[in-house]
Amino acid sequence: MFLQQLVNGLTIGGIYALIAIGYSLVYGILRIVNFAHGDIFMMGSFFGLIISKASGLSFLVVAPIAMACTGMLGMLVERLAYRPLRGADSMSVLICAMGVSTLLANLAQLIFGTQTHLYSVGFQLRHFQFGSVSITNLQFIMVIITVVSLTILLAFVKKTKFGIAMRATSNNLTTAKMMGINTNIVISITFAIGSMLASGAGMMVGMYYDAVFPTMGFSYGIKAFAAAVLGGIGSLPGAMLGGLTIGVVESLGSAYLSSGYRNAFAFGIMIIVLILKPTGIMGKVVREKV
Amino acid sequence: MRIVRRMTVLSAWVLCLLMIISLIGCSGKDPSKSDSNGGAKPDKYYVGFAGALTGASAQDGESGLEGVKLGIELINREGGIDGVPLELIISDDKGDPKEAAIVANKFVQDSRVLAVIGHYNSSCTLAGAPIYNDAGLVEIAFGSTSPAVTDAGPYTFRTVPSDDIGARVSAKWGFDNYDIKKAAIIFENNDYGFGVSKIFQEECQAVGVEVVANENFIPGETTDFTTMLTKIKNENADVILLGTLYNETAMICKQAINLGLDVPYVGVDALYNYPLIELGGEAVEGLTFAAFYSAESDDPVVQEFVKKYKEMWNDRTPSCYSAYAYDALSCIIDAIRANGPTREGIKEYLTTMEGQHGVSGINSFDENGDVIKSTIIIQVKDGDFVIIE
Repeated sequence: MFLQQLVNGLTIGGIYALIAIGYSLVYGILRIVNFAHGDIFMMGSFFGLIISKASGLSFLVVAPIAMACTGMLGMLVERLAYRPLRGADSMSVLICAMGVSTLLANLAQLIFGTQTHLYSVGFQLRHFQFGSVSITNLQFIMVIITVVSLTILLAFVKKTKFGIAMRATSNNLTTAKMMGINTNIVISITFAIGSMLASGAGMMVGMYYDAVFPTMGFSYGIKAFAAAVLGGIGSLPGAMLGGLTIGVVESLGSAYLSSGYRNAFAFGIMIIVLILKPTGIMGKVVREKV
Repeated sequence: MRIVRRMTVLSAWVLCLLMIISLIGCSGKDPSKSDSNGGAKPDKYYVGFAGALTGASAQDGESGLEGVKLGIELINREGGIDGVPLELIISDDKGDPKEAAIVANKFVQDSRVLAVIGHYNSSCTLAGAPIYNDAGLVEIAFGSTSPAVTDAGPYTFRTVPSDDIGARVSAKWGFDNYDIKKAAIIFENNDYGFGVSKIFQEECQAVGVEVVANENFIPGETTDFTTMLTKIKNENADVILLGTLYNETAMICKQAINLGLDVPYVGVDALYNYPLIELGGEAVEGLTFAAFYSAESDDPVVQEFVKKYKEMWNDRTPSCYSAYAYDALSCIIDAIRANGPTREGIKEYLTTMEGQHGVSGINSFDENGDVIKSTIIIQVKDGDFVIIE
């Protein structure tokens, strides 16, 4: 049972990791917590379903289109909700983010209806038995996609010119601007990347559980946020590690102790880590410059 | 600093504006308040509907609302109650007890509302109950099966029987028809789920079945059941007893297949709604529960209801909640006819009402506002709910 629970935990943890990266990216650059990110994840999932239903194309074609749409949604949110508040009090931005979150969730209820939708995108789920462990083909795909997209993202941030611009903006927005970096574009693209990853996660959740509904963004969003904080918010490998940790801990905790306290395990581990290491597992200490 | 000052001034203006708007809103309501007190007949009778129209149990609430809307349509087609048309005021409690309290306050303060059909979720009915009972407004719940609703107060009624009946019959049927030595229970972490889980545990104890897992989850935000199902598989349970609703049940059954877990499911009548089959498909085949209403019943009253419902709602088959909510409205209509359009009159009528032949069985409320109805056993077979006993 332990191995099976580990697999269950890693699967859900991979999803948390993909969403957590979006939180970390945005926080790293703007120092704001984008609470609408969970709902962007949900929208991404719906986009995949809607486009697949409307076009009837293979999901391999649909997925990138849905991700692109979600990326644009992320940019739109940044442009309309966060850019006007650039430089404003962080509390205003936080409240604005919550407003956007409610707006998106209600918008989804208005457009798609409140009911749970089957995620019928023509994906055939198969399960394989390895000893006592049962794994579906989708779980393999999920692991591969999570690892590949994270590797690409890390390489992008480390190696490309745009990645350097991103890191410069993250380091100091004003100085980056003075060095001739168009920080507005950098921020837009950062939102787009985070949203695209969330959309990928959303579509995988839809396929894995064969269900998508407008209010699912909240619980995933809040867990992924905990994952980002646990891993050290602002750090990409940290977000990955945090996601997997939370997934595995809540899985094992509810397996061996009580399933009713599933959320308590997820947030409990975050609190414990923050007490021991306030910057999170991989977070760096940033000195306040005077 | 200047920006801050400007913002303060601006928000002061906005506040002023809001106050003025709300004052206008209040004064607009006044005339309607006075008309129910006047001696002359009002031009309309108002009934409230409260249920989950968004959130995890939205489709159950929606089914109930469709049943009520059908009832309103039928009575108004006949010219209303003694010539006065009936009008529905709809409120969404989102299946959330906090929202339910807000909705309840709204209804008790609106003096036009004569009675309320709702709430759906047990937790919502219980959250609203103190408010309705203090104000003396009747609430007739159409989906709240928790045994706790029995003691909710003299103004709380329900047309759906308590799980004290349904869950016991379901469990007994399971023990008689499957070879069960170990049972697992999965339930929602709320009043409904806890009530069912407790009854299932008692029934297991009574026949010496070991409960190897008693797992719960938060409805509406849980999508992953693999952890608890892995545990249940590992414990070699012979049956899964469900205190859940359609949404999560479909997910549970599908995820069990992916884990290679193949056991019979026994639930309660709360699962009698067609989205269960739409969402669960193959995975929910064989799921069994004790119920009180069936669309297949040969009772002419039920057949007439199913026919009219299908005409009005796009050929959809009414679920049990459509039936319970429809019956709740019928009771209120009878009460207004007999005792006149007052909140107290309706309550008096309901406490003494006997043998109202509804579509979900015979409605007679006992001293706690509960109903007792005869049970049937329903199983999901070939993508439909079929009466098997």
